[in-house]
Amino acid sequence: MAYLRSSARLAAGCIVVGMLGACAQPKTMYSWQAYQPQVYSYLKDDVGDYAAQAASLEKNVQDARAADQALPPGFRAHLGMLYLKLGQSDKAVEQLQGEKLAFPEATAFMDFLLRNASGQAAAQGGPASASGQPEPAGAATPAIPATEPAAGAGKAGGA
Amino acid sequence: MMITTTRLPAASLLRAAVLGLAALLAGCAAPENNVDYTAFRASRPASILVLPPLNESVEAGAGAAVLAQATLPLAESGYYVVPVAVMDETFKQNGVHTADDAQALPAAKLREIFGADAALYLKVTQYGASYAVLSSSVTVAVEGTLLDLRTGAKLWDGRKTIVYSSGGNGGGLIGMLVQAIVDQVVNTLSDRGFQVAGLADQSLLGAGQPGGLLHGPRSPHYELLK
Repeated sequence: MAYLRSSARLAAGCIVVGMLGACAQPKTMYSWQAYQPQVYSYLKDDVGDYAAQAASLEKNVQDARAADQALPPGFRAHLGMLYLKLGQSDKAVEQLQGEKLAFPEATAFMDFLLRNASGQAAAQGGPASASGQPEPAGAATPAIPATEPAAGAGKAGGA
Repeated sequence: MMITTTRLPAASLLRAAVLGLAALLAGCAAPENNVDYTAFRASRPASILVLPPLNESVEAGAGAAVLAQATLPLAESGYYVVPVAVMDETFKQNGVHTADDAQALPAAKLREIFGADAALYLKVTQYGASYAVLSSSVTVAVEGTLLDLRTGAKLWDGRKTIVYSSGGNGGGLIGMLVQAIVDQVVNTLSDRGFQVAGLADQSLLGAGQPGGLLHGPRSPHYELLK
């Protein structure tokens, strides 16, 4: 029984290793502490606590730095988006640039977002923002136009 | 292509050991030869856009749980993964409000905006709990298809079902697993479905298993095949 128990424990370790796809090195490539849980919070809640979500990611940045681990793909861009939501455009731009630097694969999308971020900053500062609400980032550059899916009935005008 | 149901009854240690052995072998062994990877190898995608999942389950939050946890297995497999919530936000701000609409967009448009080499089309076919007197179970079933956004070619598809049964010995094994994988989530999100969705993502999208995805360029296991 003791044997069975220890083999089960060993098995559990192997499952983790197998899932992470690295038999030789059980350490993950990236620091996964906060990114996915915060993404989930963001997706789940219509009006989330963006400051708390950003703070959680900022703590992850510190911990990753201390452990000399890389931040996952998308992490910086997600933090940048939260900064945009909080009206902190400078910090947002810094994160989007950081994503590009860490992952050149992100260049096209980050450039797209950076164009929109600057548009949003202008909208925030300009006289047009009479409602006090930040313009949606997509307003400056309509991104995904006129591809009305056949099933998209009831959508007023789409993009 | 791959139809695998993974049962995780915490009571059965032997079963767990077998599973573990299988996972260990899967982690090391090259994918099986009976799956055609010709298109995948020719495409050599470096970046993956995970589109909002279609949801056939009765649980409204299933798509978010599956989408939020798809990044880890893909990134650890060596791919750049487009930030999923930023993608979701971008869709919404441009009038694309449902997963159906997002998955119906033309490949060229997705490539233009997100710059990804490939897109992963996910579908949650089951997500939910069933309760009984002595045990209860949570089932999450996910299907995925990977398409090349440059050519439209289908590179891979697969499906996985994870059934987590509790009762008897309780969730010792699964607890260990989840804790190792998602760290503090257990304490902050008391959502068993979320945990099982994470395991489903892991088992479907972790590279190097039989019939699974191939490793991407950022992985030390990236196979430099001609």
